[in-house]
Amino acid sequence: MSTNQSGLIHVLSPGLLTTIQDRGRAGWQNHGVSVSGAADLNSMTIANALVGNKLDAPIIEFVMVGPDLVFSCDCVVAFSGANFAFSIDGNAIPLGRPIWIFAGTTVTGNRSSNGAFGYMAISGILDIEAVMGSVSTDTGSKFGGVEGRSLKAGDVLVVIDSPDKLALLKRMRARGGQSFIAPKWSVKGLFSAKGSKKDKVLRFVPSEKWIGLSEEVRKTTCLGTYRVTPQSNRMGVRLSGKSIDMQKSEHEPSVPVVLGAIQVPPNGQPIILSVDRQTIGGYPSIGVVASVDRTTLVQCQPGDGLRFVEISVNDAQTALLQEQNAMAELVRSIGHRIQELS
Amino acid sequence: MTSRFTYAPLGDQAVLISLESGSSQGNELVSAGALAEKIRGFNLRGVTDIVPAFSQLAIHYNPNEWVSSSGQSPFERIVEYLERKLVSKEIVLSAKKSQLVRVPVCYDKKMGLDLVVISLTLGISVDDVINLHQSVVYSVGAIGFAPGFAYLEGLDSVLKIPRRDAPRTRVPAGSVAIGGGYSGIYPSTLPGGWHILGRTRMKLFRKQGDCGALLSVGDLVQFEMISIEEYDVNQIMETDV
Repeated sequence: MSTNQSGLIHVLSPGLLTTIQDRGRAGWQNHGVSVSGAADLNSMTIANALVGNKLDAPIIEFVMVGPDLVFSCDCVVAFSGANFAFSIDGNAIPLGRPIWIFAGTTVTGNRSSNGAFGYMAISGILDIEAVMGSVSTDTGSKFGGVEGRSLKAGDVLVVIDSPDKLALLKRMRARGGQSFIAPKWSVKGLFSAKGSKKDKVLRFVPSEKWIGLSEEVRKTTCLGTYRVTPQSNRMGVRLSGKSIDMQKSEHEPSVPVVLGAIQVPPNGQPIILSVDRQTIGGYPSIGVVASVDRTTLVQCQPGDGLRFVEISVNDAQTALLQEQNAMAELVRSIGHRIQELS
Repeated sequence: MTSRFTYAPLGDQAVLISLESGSSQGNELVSAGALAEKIRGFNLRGVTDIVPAFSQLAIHYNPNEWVSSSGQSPFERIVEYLERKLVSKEIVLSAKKSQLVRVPVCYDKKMGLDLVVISLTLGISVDDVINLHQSVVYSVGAIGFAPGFAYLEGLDSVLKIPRRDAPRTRVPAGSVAIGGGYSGIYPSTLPGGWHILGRTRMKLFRKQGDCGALLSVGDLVQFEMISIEEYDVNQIMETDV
Protein backbone atom coordinates (compact mmCIF):
# COMPACT_ATOMS: atom_id res chain seq x y z
CA MET A 1 0.00 0.00 0.00
CA SER A 2 1.30 3.45 -0.84
CA THR A 3 1.27 6.26 1.67
CA ASN A 4 -1.74 8.47 1.19
CA GLN A 5 -1.13 12.07 0.21
CA SER A 6 -3.04 14.76 1.95
CA GLY A 7 -4.01 18.34 1.23
CA LEU A 8 -5.17 21.27 3.28
CA ILE A 9 -8.23 23.50 3.21
CA HIS A 10 -7.83 26.82 4.99
CA VAL A 11 -10.86 28.58 6.45
CA LEU A 12 -10.63 32.26 5.45
CA SER A 13 -14.08 33.20 6.71
CA PRO A 14 -16.30 30.63 8.45
CA GLY A 15 -19.75 31.65 7.19
CA LEU A 16 -22.53 30.87 9.65
CA LEU A 17 -22.59 27.82 11.94
CA THR A 18 -20.30 25.91 9.60
CA THR A 19 -19.66 22.44 11.06
CA ILE A 20 -18.42 18.98 10.12
CA GLN A 21 -21.26 16.44 10.03
CA ASP A 22 -21.98 12.87 8.98
CA ARG A 23 -25.06 10.67 9.50
CA GLY A 24 -24.93 11.35 13.24
CA ARG A 25 -24.19 9.68 16.54
CA ALA A 26 -26.97 7.09 16.78
CA GLY A 27 -26.69 4.43 19.49
CA TRP A 28 -25.84 6.71 22.41
CA GLN A 29 -29.21 8.25 23.23
CA ASN A 30 -29.59 6.16 26.39
CA HIS A 31 -26.42 7.94 27.59
CA GLY A 32 -28.11 11.28 27.02
CA VAL A 33 -26.08 11.96 23.86
CA SER A 34 -27.81 13.79 21.01
CA VAL A 35 -27.79 12.19 17.57
CA SER A 36 -26.78 15.36 15.65
CA GLY A 37 -25.61 14.73 12.06
CA ALA A 38 -26.41 16.54 8.82
CA ALA A 39 -29.76 18.35 9.06
CA ASP A 40 -30.62 17.56 5.43
CA LEU A 41 -29.45 13.96 5.06
CA ASN A 42 -30.57 13.64 1.44
CA SER A 43 -28.48 16.61 0.36
CA MET A 44 -25.47 15.18 2.22
CA THR A 45 -25.94 11.86 0.43
CA ILE A 46 -26.16 13.51 -3.01
CA ALA A 47 -23.05 15.66 -2.45
CA ASN A 48 -21.01 12.66 -1.30
CA ALA A 49 -22.22 10.59 -4.26
CA LEU A 50 -21.18 13.38 -6.66
CA VAL A 51 -17.55 13.24 -5.51
CA GLY A 52 -17.40 9.45 -5.36
CA ASN A 53 -17.23 9.30 -1.56
CA LYS A 54 -18.97 6.90 0.77
CA LEU A 55 -22.47 8.30 1.21
CA ASP A 56 -21.98 8.96 4.93
CA ALA A 57 -18.46 10.44 4.64
CA PRO A 58 -17.78 13.57 6.74
CA ILE A 59 -19.06 16.69 5.02
CA ILE A 60 -19.06 20.45 5.60
CA GLU A 61 -22.46 21.91 6.54
CA PHE A 62 -23.24 25.64 6.63
CA VAL A 63 -26.34 27.66 7.49
CA MET A 64 -27.66 30.73 5.59
CA VAL A 65 -24.11 32.03 4.82
CA GLY A 66 -21.41 29.87 3.23
CA PRO A 67 -17.69 29.91 4.17
CA ASP A 68 -14.69 31.26 2.21
CA LEU A 69 -12.10 28.50 1.76
CA VAL A 70 -8.61 28.27 0.26
CA PHE A 71 -7.59 24.92 -1.25
CA SER A 72 -3.93 23.96 -1.06
CA CYS A 73 -4.33 20.96 -3.35
CA ASP A 74 -6.40 19.94 -6.35
CA CYS A 75 -9.77 18.76 -5.06
CA VAL A 76 -13.07 17.58 -6.43
CA VAL A 77 -15.96 19.06 -4.47
CA ALA A 78 -19.76 19.20 -4.83
CA PHE A 79 -22.33 21.58 -3.40
CA SER A 80 -25.88 20.59 -2.55
CA GLY A 81 -28.81 21.60 -0.36
CA ALA A 82 -29.96 25.20 -0.17
CA ASN A 83 -29.27 27.69 -3.01
CA PHE A 84 -25.93 29.10 -1.90
CA ALA A 85 -24.02 31.33 -4.30
CA PHE A 86 -20.42 30.07 -4.22
CA SER A 87 -17.91 31.50 -6.66
CA ILE A 88 -14.28 31.38 -7.78
CA ASP A 89 -12.76 34.62 -9.15
CA GLY A 90 -16.29 35.97 -9.54
CA ASN A 91 -17.47 32.96 -11.57
CA ALA A 92 -20.49 31.28 -9.99
CA ILE A 93 -19.99 27.61 -9.12
CA PRO A 94 -22.94 25.47 -10.17
CA LEU A 95 -24.63 23.28 -7.56
CA GLY A 96 -25.24 19.56 -7.85
CA ARG A 97 -22.22 18.44 -9.88
CA PRO A 98 -18.57 17.51 -9.29
CA ILE A 99 -16.25 20.53 -9.50
CA TRP A 100 -12.52 20.25 -9.95
CA ILE A 101 -10.88 23.03 -7.94
CA PHE A 102 -7.20 23.80 -8.55
CA ALA A 103 -4.59 24.11 -5.83
CA GLY A 104 -4.30 27.69 -4.59
CA THR A 105 -7.89 28.60 -5.43
CA THR A 106 -10.14 30.60 -3.09
CA VAL A 107 -13.79 29.59 -3.03
CA THR A 108 -16.05 32.40 -1.85
CA GLY A 109 -19.30 31.69 -0.08
CA ASN A 110 -22.36 33.90 0.04
CA ARG A 111 -25.92 33.96 1.33
CA SER A 112 -28.50 31.34 0.51
CA SER A 113 -31.30 32.70 -1.68
CA ASN A 114 -33.60 29.85 -0.73
CA GLY A 115 -33.28 27.21 1.97
CA ALA A 116 -31.15 27.19 5.11
CA PHE A 117 -28.66 24.28 5.03
CA GLY A 118 -25.94 23.82 2.44
CA TYR A 119 -23.33 21.09 2.02
CA MET A 120 -19.92 20.78 0.47
CA ALA A 121 -18.53 17.30 -0.05
CA ILE A 122 -14.81 16.94 -0.75
CA SER A 123 -13.50 13.90 -2.60
CA GLY A 124 -11.22 11.97 -0.26
CA ILE A 125 -11.41 11.67 3.50
CA LEU A 126 -11.78 14.65 5.84
CA ASP A 127 -9.37 13.83 8.64
CA ILE A 128 -11.55 14.27 11.73
CA GLU A 129 -11.46 12.10 14.84
CA ALA A 130 -14.67 10.17 15.49
CA VAL A 131 -16.23 10.46 18.95
CA MET A 132 -18.62 7.66 19.87
CA GLY A 133 -18.65 6.44 16.29
CA SER A 134 -19.32 9.77 14.56
CA VAL A 135 -17.47 12.93 13.52
CA SER A 136 -20.66 15.00 13.75
CA THR A 137 -20.20 18.27 15.59
CA ASP A 138 -22.40 18.59 18.69
CA THR A 139 -21.84 22.23 19.68
CA GLY A 140 -24.07 21.86 22.74
CA SER A 141 -22.02 19.05 24.29
CA LYS A 142 -18.83 20.35 22.65
CA PHE A 143 -17.61 17.22 20.94
CA GLY A 144 -17.12 15.91 17.41
CA GLY A 145 -15.93 17.91 14.40
CA VAL A 146 -13.23 20.49 15.11
CA GLU A 147 -13.02 20.80 18.91
CA GLY A 148 -16.78 20.39 19.20
CA ARG A 149 -17.45 23.84 17.74
CA SER A 150 -18.36 25.52 14.50
CA LEU A 151 -15.44 26.46 12.25
CA LYS A 152 -13.68 29.78 12.62
CA ALA A 153 -11.25 31.79 10.53
CA GLY A 154 -7.78 30.24 10.64
CA ASP A 155 -8.95 26.64 10.98
CA VAL A 156 -7.23 24.16 8.70
CA LEU A 157 -8.91 20.97 7.51
CA VAL A 158 -6.87 18.01 6.31
CA VAL A 159 -8.16 15.96 3.37
CA ILE A 160 -6.55 12.57 2.82
CA ASP A 161 -6.53 11.36 -0.78
CA SER A 162 -8.55 8.27 -1.58
CA PRO A 163 -8.19 6.02 -4.65
CA ASP A 164 -11.63 7.24 -5.75
CA LYS A 165 -10.47 10.85 -5.67
CA LEU A 166 -7.37 10.12 -7.73
CA ALA A 167 -9.43 8.21 -10.29
CA LEU A 168 -11.92 11.05 -10.45
CA LEU A 169 -9.17 13.64 -11.00
CA LYS A 170 -7.67 11.49 -13.72
CA ARG A 171 -10.98 11.28 -15.58
CA MET A 172 -11.69 15.00 -15.26
CA ARG A 173 -8.16 15.98 -16.31
CA ALA A 174 -8.97 15.56 -19.97
CA ARG A 175 -10.90 18.84 -20.00
CA GLY A 176 -9.44 22.29 -20.45
CA GLY A 177 -10.33 24.73 -17.77
CA GLN A 178 -10.57 28.28 -16.55
CA SER A 179 -11.39 28.82 -12.88
CA PHE A 180 -12.61 25.33 -12.32
CA ILE A 181 -13.78 22.29 -14.28
CA ALA A 182 -17.32 20.97 -14.15
CA PRO A 183 -19.47 18.71 -16.32
CA LYS A 184 -22.50 20.18 -18.08
CA TRP A 185 -25.01 17.94 -16.34
CA SER A 186 -26.20 18.45 -12.77
CA VAL A 187 -28.37 16.77 -10.19
CA LYS A 188 -31.36 18.80 -9.22
CA GLY A 189 -31.69 18.84 -5.47
CA LEU A 190 -34.75 17.26 -3.94
CA PHE A 191 -35.15 20.63 -2.37
CA SER A 192 -36.23 23.13 -5.01
CA ALA A 193 -37.21 26.76 -5.11
CA LYS A 194 -40.81 26.13 -6.06
CA GLY A 195 -43.64 27.62 -4.01
CA SER A 196 -41.40 29.62 -1.73
CA LYS A 197 -44.15 32.21 -1.19
CA LYS A 198 -46.75 29.59 -0.37
CA ASP A 199 -47.03 27.80 2.96
CA LYS A 200 -45.08 24.57 3.09
CA VAL A 201 -46.91 21.48 4.27
CA LEU A 202 -45.60 19.36 7.13
CA ARG A 203 -47.35 16.00 7.46
CA PHE A 204 -47.23 14.67 11.01
CA VAL A 205 -47.98 11.38 12.73
CA PRO A 206 -50.30 12.34 15.62
CA SER A 207 -49.55 11.51 19.25
CA GLU A 208 -52.02 10.20 21.83
CA LYS A 209 -52.11 13.72 23.26
CA TRP A 210 -53.26 15.14 19.92
CA ILE A 211 -56.01 12.56 19.62
CA GLY A 212 -57.15 13.57 23.12
CA LEU A 213 -57.50 17.26 22.22
CA SER A 214 -60.90 18.75 21.35
CA GLU A 215 -61.89 18.75 17.69
CA GLU A 216 -61.93 22.53 17.74
CA VAL A 217 -58.31 22.79 18.90
CA ARG A 218 -57.21 20.26 16.29
CA LYS A 219 -59.12 22.09 13.55
CA THR A 220 -57.74 25.54 14.34
CA THR A 221 -54.20 24.13 14.56
CA CYS A 222 -54.43 22.51 11.11
CA LEU A 223 -56.05 25.57 9.52
CA GLY A 224 -53.48 28.01 10.81
CA THR A 225 -50.21 29.16 9.29
CA TYR A 226 -47.14 28.90 11.52
CA ARG A 227 -44.15 31.10 10.77
CA VAL A 228 -40.56 30.02 11.36
CA THR A 229 -38.89 32.43 13.82
CA PRO A 230 -35.25 33.62 13.76
CA GLN A 231 -34.64 31.78 17.07
CA SER A 232 -34.66 28.49 15.14
CA ASN A 233 -31.43 26.49 15.10
CA ARG A 234 -30.11 22.93 14.85
CA MET A 235 -31.83 22.09 18.15
CA GLY A 236 -35.30 23.12 17.10
CA VAL A 237 -37.39 24.97 14.54
CA ARG A 238 -39.39 27.52 16.51
CA LEU A 239 -42.75 28.63 15.19
CA SER A 240 -45.17 31.41 15.90
CA GLY A 241 -48.87 31.28 15.11
CA LYS A 242 -52.20 30.28 16.64
CA SER A 243 -51.52 29.18 20.19
CA ILE A 244 -52.18 25.46 20.76
CA ASP A 245 -53.98 24.75 24.04
CA MET A 246 -52.69 21.37 25.26
CA GLN A 247 -54.95 21.37 28.34
CA LYS A 248 -51.90 20.21 30.24
CA SER A 249 -52.44 19.05 33.79
CA GLU A 250 -49.68 19.62 36.33
CA HIS A 251 -46.07 18.57 36.09
CA GLU A 252 -45.45 15.64 33.79
CA PRO A 253 -42.14 13.76 33.68
CA SER A 254 -39.89 13.94 30.63
CA VAL A 255 -40.48 11.43 27.85
CA PRO A 256 -38.25 10.04 25.09
CA VAL A 257 -38.35 12.29 22.02
CA VAL A 258 -37.41 12.04 18.34
CA LEU A 259 -36.38 14.32 15.47
CA GLY A 260 -39.47 16.13 14.19
CA ALA A 261 -41.44 15.97 17.46
CA ILE A 262 -43.78 18.96 17.58
CA GLN A 263 -43.53 20.13 21.18
CA VAL A 264 -45.89 22.67 22.68
CA PRO A 265 -44.52 24.67 25.63
CA PRO A 266 -46.96 26.45 28.01
CA ASN A 267 -47.12 29.54 25.72
CA GLY A 268 -48.72 27.38 23.01
CA GLN A 269 -46.12 28.22 20.32
CA PRO A 270 -44.75 24.99 18.80
CA ILE A 271 -41.08 24.01 18.71
CA ILE A 272 -40.21 21.22 16.26
CA LEU A 273 -37.19 19.26 17.46
CA SER A 274 -34.30 19.13 14.98
CA VAL A 275 -31.00 17.24 14.69
CA ASP A 276 -29.28 18.53 17.84
CA ARG A 277 -32.39 17.81 19.95
CA GLN A 278 -31.99 16.30 23.38
CA THR A 279 -32.89 12.65 23.93
CA ILE A 280 -35.80 13.26 26.29
CA GLY A 281 -38.12 16.25 26.64
CA GLY A 282 -40.61 17.68 29.08
CA TYR A 283 -43.10 19.49 26.83
CA PRO A 284 -46.19 17.68 25.55
CA SER A 285 -46.11 16.86 21.84
CA ILE A 286 -48.92 16.81 19.26
CA GLY A 287 -47.02 14.39 17.03
CA VAL A 288 -43.96 13.88 14.88
CA VAL A 289 -43.24 15.31 11.42
CA ALA A 290 -43.09 12.53 8.81
CA SER A 291 -39.49 11.66 7.84
CA VAL A 292 -40.23 12.45 4.18
CA ASP A 293 -40.86 16.06 5.22
CA ARG A 294 -37.56 16.36 7.10
CA THR A 295 -35.93 18.27 4.23
CA THR A 296 -38.88 20.69 4.05
CA LEU A 297 -38.66 21.22 7.81
CA VAL A 298 -34.94 21.86 8.16
CA GLN A 299 -34.63 23.94 4.98
CA CYS A 300 -37.12 26.55 6.21
CA GLN A 301 -35.79 30.09 6.52
CA PRO A 302 -37.07 32.48 9.19
CA GLY A 303 -40.37 33.94 8.01
CA ASP A 304 -41.39 30.89 5.96
CA GLY A 305 -44.97 29.70 6.54
CA LEU A 306 -45.84 26.13 7.53
CA ARG A 307 -49.07 24.17 7.77
CA PHE A 308 -49.74 20.93 9.62
CA VAL A 309 -51.56 18.01 8.01
CA GLU A 310 -52.19 14.67 9.74
CA ILE A 311 -50.81 11.48 8.21
CA SER A 312 -51.09 7.91 9.48
CA VAL A 313 -47.92 6.09 10.51
CA ASN A 314 -48.56 3.54 7.75
CA ASP A 315 -48.80 6.18 5.03
CA ALA A 316 -45.75 8.01 6.40
CA GLN A 317 -43.71 4.79 6.25
CA THR A 318 -44.91 3.98 2.72
CA ALA A 319 -43.83 7.47 1.60
CA LEU A 320 -40.47 7.10 3.37
CA LEU A 321 -39.72 3.76 1.72
CA GLN A 322 -40.57 5.26 -1.68
CA GLU A 323 -38.23 8.16 -0.99
CA GLN A 324 -35.43 5.80 0.09
CA ASN A 325 -35.85 3.83 -3.14
CA ALA A 326 -35.78 7.03 -5.20
CA MET A 327 -32.62 8.15 -3.41
CA ALA A 328 -30.93 4.78 -4.01
CA GLU A 329 -31.83 5.07 -7.72
CA LEU A 330 -30.46 8.63 -7.85
CA VAL A 331 -27.22 7.58 -6.15
CA ARG A 332 -26.81 4.73 -8.66
CA SER A 333 -27.27 7.06 -11.62
CA ILE A 334 -24.81 9.59 -10.16
CA GLY A 335 -22.34 6.72 -9.79
CA HIS A 336 -22.67 5.92 -13.50
CA ARG A 337 -22.33 9.57 -14.48
CA ILE A 338 -19.09 10.13 -12.59
CA GLN A 339 -17.65 6.90 -14.02
CA GLU A 340 -18.25 8.29 -17.50
CA LEU A 341 -16.60 11.67 -16.85
CA SER A 342 -13.84 12.59 -19.26
CA MET B 1 -52.02 -12.63 30.84
CA THR B 2 -53.18 -9.04 30.49
CA SER B 3 -51.21 -6.63 28.38
CA ARG B 4 -48.88 -4.65 30.60
CA PHE B 5 -47.54 -2.37 27.92
CA THR B 6 -49.11 -0.08 25.36
CA TYR B 7 -47.48 0.62 22.01
CA ALA B 8 -47.82 3.83 20.01
CA PRO B 9 -46.02 5.29 16.99
CA LEU B 10 -43.51 8.00 17.88
CA GLY B 11 -43.33 9.25 14.32
CA ASP B 12 -42.48 6.81 11.52
CA GLN B 13 -39.09 5.66 12.87
CA ALA B 14 -39.77 4.93 16.55
CA VAL B 15 -42.16 3.00 18.80
CA LEU B 16 -43.12 4.38 22.20
CA ILE B 17 -43.83 1.73 24.84
CA SER B 18 -45.66 2.92 27.94
CA LEU B 19 -45.71 0.84 31.10
CA GLU B 20 -49.04 0.93 32.83
CA SER B 21 -48.56 2.23 36.35
CA GLY B 22 -47.65 -0.63 38.64
CA SER B 23 -46.85 -2.95 35.74
CA SER B 24 -45.64 -6.14 37.30
CA GLN B 25 -44.70 -9.67 36.48
CA GLY B 26 -45.04 -11.98 39.45
CA ASN B 27 -43.77 -9.94 42.34
CA GLU B 28 -41.31 -7.95 40.33
CA LEU B 29 -42.15 -4.39 39.47
CA VAL B 30 -41.27 -3.78 35.85
CA SER B 31 -39.13 -0.71 35.28
CA ALA B 32 -38.48 0.98 31.94
CA GLY B 33 -34.74 0.42 32.50
CA ALA B 34 -35.16 -3.34 32.96
CA LEU B 35 -37.49 -3.53 29.96
CA ALA B 36 -34.93 -1.63 27.85
CA GLU B 37 -32.22 -4.15 28.84
CA LYS B 38 -34.53 -7.01 27.95
CA ILE B 39 -35.34 -5.57 24.52
CA ARG B 40 -31.66 -4.80 23.91
CA GLY B 41 -31.07 -8.53 24.35
CA PHE B 42 -33.42 -9.31 21.44
CA ASN B 43 -30.88 -7.71 19.05
CA LEU B 44 -33.71 -6.39 16.89
CA ARG B 45 -32.59 -5.67 13.34
CA GLY B 46 -32.50 -2.04 12.27
CA VAL B 47 -32.80 -0.79 15.86
CA THR B 48 -30.33 2.01 16.61
CA ASP B 49 -31.42 3.26 20.04
CA ILE B 50 -33.48 2.05 23.00
CA VAL B 51 -34.18 5.00 25.30
CA PRO B 52 -35.97 4.48 28.62
CA ALA B 53 -37.31 7.43 30.62
CA PHE B 54 -39.44 6.98 33.75
CA SER B 55 -42.43 4.83 32.73
CA GLN B 56 -41.84 4.94 28.97
CA LEU B 57 -39.27 3.86 26.44
CA ALA B 58 -38.61 4.62 22.80
CA ILE B 59 -37.26 2.12 20.28
CA HIS B 60 -35.69 3.89 17.30
CA TYR B 61 -35.80 1.65 14.22
CA ASN B 62 -35.26 1.75 10.48
CA PRO B 63 -38.64 0.96 8.82
CA ASN B 64 -36.77 -0.44 5.81
CA GLU B 65 -35.69 -3.41 7.96
CA TRP B 66 -39.30 -4.22 8.91
CA VAL B 67 -40.97 -4.30 5.50
CA SER B 68 -43.32 -7.24 5.08
CA SER B 69 -44.91 -8.81 2.04
CA SER B 70 -48.22 -9.32 3.82
CA GLY B 71 -49.34 -5.69 3.64
CA GLN B 72 -48.42 -4.99 7.25
CA SER B 73 -46.65 -1.68 7.82
CA PRO B 74 -43.18 -1.73 9.42
CA PHE B 75 -44.74 -0.20 12.56
CA GLU B 76 -47.38 -2.93 12.79
CA ARG B 77 -44.77 -5.59 12.18
CA ILE B 78 -42.31 -4.49 14.87
CA VAL B 79 -45.13 -4.01 17.41
CA GLU B 80 -46.48 -7.47 16.69
CA TYR B 81 -43.00 -8.89 17.14
CA LEU B 82 -42.47 -7.04 20.44
CA GLU B 83 -45.89 -8.07 21.78
CA ARG B 84 -45.15 -11.69 21.04
CA LYS B 85 -41.67 -11.58 22.62
CA LEU B 86 -42.78 -9.66 25.71
CA VAL B 87 -45.78 -11.81 26.56
CA SER B 88 -44.01 -15.16 26.52
CA LYS B 89 -43.51 -16.72 29.91
CA GLU B 90 -39.75 -17.18 29.95
CA ILE B 91 -39.20 -13.45 30.19
CA VAL B 92 -37.98 -12.45 33.59
CA LEU B 93 -37.43 -8.77 33.54
CA SER B 94 -35.42 -8.66 36.73
CA ALA B 95 -32.56 -10.50 35.03
CA LYS B 96 -30.32 -7.48 35.33
CA LYS B 97 -29.51 -6.50 38.90
CA SER B 98 -29.40 -2.79 39.53
CA GLN B 99 -25.95 -1.54 40.41
CA LEU B 100 -25.60 0.63 43.51
CA VAL B 101 -23.31 3.58 42.91
CA ARG B 102 -21.97 5.46 45.93
CA VAL B 103 -21.29 9.09 45.11
CA PRO B 104 -19.03 11.05 47.49
CA VAL B 105 -20.37 14.59 47.90
CA CYS B 106 -18.80 17.60 49.57
CA TYR B 107 -21.64 19.64 51.08
CA ASP B 108 -19.34 22.53 52.05
CA LYS B 109 -21.05 25.89 51.53
CA LYS B 110 -18.36 26.81 48.98
CA MET B 111 -19.74 23.99 46.79
CA GLY B 112 -23.34 23.91 47.97
CA LEU B 113 -24.14 27.37 46.64
CA ASP B 114 -27.85 27.16 47.53
CA LEU B 115 -27.67 25.35 50.91
CA VAL B 116 -28.27 28.46 52.99
CA VAL B 117 -31.10 29.77 50.80
CA ILE B 118 -32.88 26.41 50.92
CA SER B 119 -32.48 26.13 54.67
CA LEU B 120 -33.99 29.61 55.06
CA THR B 121 -36.82 28.87 52.60
CA LEU B 122 -37.75 25.62 54.34
CA GLY B 123 -37.10 26.88 57.88
CA ILE B 124 -34.80 23.96 58.71
CA SER B 125 -31.07 23.87 59.41
CA VAL B 126 -28.43 23.36 56.72
CA ASP B 127 -27.55 20.06 58.41
CA ASP B 128 -31.16 18.93 58.09
CA VAL B 129 -31.15 19.76 54.37
CA ILE B 130 -27.98 17.68 53.94
CA ASN B 131 -29.33 14.80 56.00
CA LEU B 132 -32.62 14.72 54.11
CA HIS B 133 -30.72 14.69 50.84
CA GLN B 134 -28.23 11.93 51.66
CA SER B 135 -30.40 9.65 53.79
CA VAL B 136 -32.24 8.03 50.87
CA VAL B 137 -31.28 5.65 48.09
CA TYR B 138 -32.22 7.14 44.74
CA SER B 139 -33.01 5.33 41.54
CA VAL B 140 -32.14 6.62 38.07
CA GLY B 141 -35.45 7.43 36.33
CA ALA B 142 -34.04 8.88 33.13
CA ILE B 143 -30.82 10.05 31.47
CA GLY B 144 -31.07 13.20 29.41
CA PHE B 145 -30.85 16.99 29.24
CA ALA B 146 -27.09 16.55 28.74
CA PRO B 147 -24.77 13.56 28.21
CA GLY B 148 -24.71 11.54 31.44
CA PHE B 149 -27.19 13.71 33.37
CA ALA B 150 -29.31 11.39 35.55
CA TYR B 151 -32.74 12.28 36.91
CA LEU B 152 -32.75 10.66 40.37
CA GLU B 153 -36.08 9.62 41.83
CA GLY B 154 -36.74 9.24 45.55
CA LEU B 155 -36.17 12.80 46.77
CA ASP B 156 -37.61 13.47 50.23
CA SER B 157 -40.91 15.34 49.81
CA VAL B 158 -39.68 18.17 52.07
CA LEU B 159 -37.03 18.95 49.41
CA LYS B 160 -39.49 19.02 46.51
CA ILE B 161 -39.37 22.76 45.91
CA PRO B 162 -39.75 24.82 42.71
CA ARG B 163 -36.66 25.51 40.60
CA ARG B 164 -34.72 28.75 40.96
CA ASP B 165 -36.51 31.79 39.51
CA ALA B 166 -33.41 32.72 37.54
CA PRO B 167 -31.45 29.79 36.11
CA ARG B 168 -27.65 30.02 36.36
CA THR B 169 -25.82 30.32 33.07
CA ARG B 170 -22.98 28.16 34.45
CA VAL B 171 -23.51 25.40 36.99
CA PRO B 172 -20.05 23.94 37.82
CA ALA B 173 -19.33 20.38 36.67
CA GLY B 174 -19.98 17.84 39.44
CA SER B 175 -22.62 19.98 41.16
CA VAL B 176 -25.15 17.88 43.07
CA ALA B 177 -28.52 19.58 42.89
CA ILE B 178 -32.26 19.28 43.42
CA GLY B 179 -35.06 20.54 41.17
CA GLY B 180 -38.41 19.54 39.71
CA GLY B 181 -38.84 16.89 42.40
CA TYR B 182 -35.59 15.11 41.47
CA SER B 183 -31.98 15.13 42.51
CA GLY B 184 -29.27 15.19 39.87
CA ILE B 185 -25.56 15.64 39.20
CA TYR B 186 -24.28 17.99 36.50
CA PRO B 187 -21.73 15.92 34.49
CA SER B 188 -20.19 19.04 32.94
CA THR B 189 -20.48 22.79 33.34
CA LEU B 190 -23.94 23.64 32.03
CA PRO B 191 -26.67 26.23 32.40
CA GLY B 192 -29.24 25.08 34.95
CA GLY B 193 -32.06 26.11 37.24
CA TRP B 194 -31.70 23.51 39.99
CA HIS B 195 -30.61 24.29 43.56
CA ILE B 196 -27.00 23.30 44.22
CA LEU B 197 -26.35 21.39 47.47
CA GLY B 198 -22.79 20.15 46.98
CA ARG B 199 -20.22 18.83 44.53
CA THR B 200 -18.62 15.53 43.60
CA ARG B 201 -15.40 14.67 41.77
CA MET B 202 -16.95 11.55 40.31
CA LYS B 203 -16.91 11.52 36.50
CA LEU B 204 -20.49 10.99 35.32
CA PHE B 205 -19.65 10.97 31.63
CA ARG B 206 -16.54 10.13 29.63
CA LYS B 207 -16.32 10.56 25.88
CA GLN B 208 -12.73 9.26 25.93
CA GLY B 209 -12.62 5.62 24.94
CA ASP B 210 -16.31 5.86 24.13
CA CYS B 211 -17.25 5.05 27.74
CA GLY B 212 -20.38 7.18 27.84
CA ALA B 213 -22.53 7.64 30.93
CA LEU B 214 -21.56 6.15 34.30
CA LEU B 215 -25.20 5.64 35.28
CA SER B 216 -28.02 3.96 33.41
CA VAL B 217 -31.76 3.98 34.00
CA GLY B 218 -32.65 1.67 36.89
CA ASP B 219 -29.32 2.07 38.73
CA LEU B 220 -29.39 3.01 42.43
CA VAL B 221 -27.47 5.99 43.79
CA GLN B 222 -26.46 6.84 47.33
CA PHE B 223 -24.78 10.11 48.28
CA GLU B 224 -22.07 9.97 50.93
CA MET B 225 -20.89 13.12 52.66
CA ILE B 226 -17.17 13.87 52.53
CA SER B 227 -15.25 16.78 54.02
CA ILE B 228 -13.64 19.47 51.92
CA GLU B 229 -10.24 17.92 52.76
CA GLU B 230 -11.35 14.55 51.38
CA TYR B 231 -12.77 16.33 48.33
CA ASP B 232 -9.35 17.91 47.71
CA VAL B 233 -7.64 14.53 48.11
CA ASN B 234 -10.04 13.15 45.49
CA GLN B 235 -8.85 15.86 43.16
CA ILE B 236 -5.25 14.67 43.46
CA MET B 237 -6.39 11.11 42.79
CA GLU B 238 -8.33 12.22 39.71
CA THR B 239 -5.30 13.95 38.23
CA ASP B 240 -3.17 10.89 38.93
CA VAL B 241 -5.43 8.66 36.88
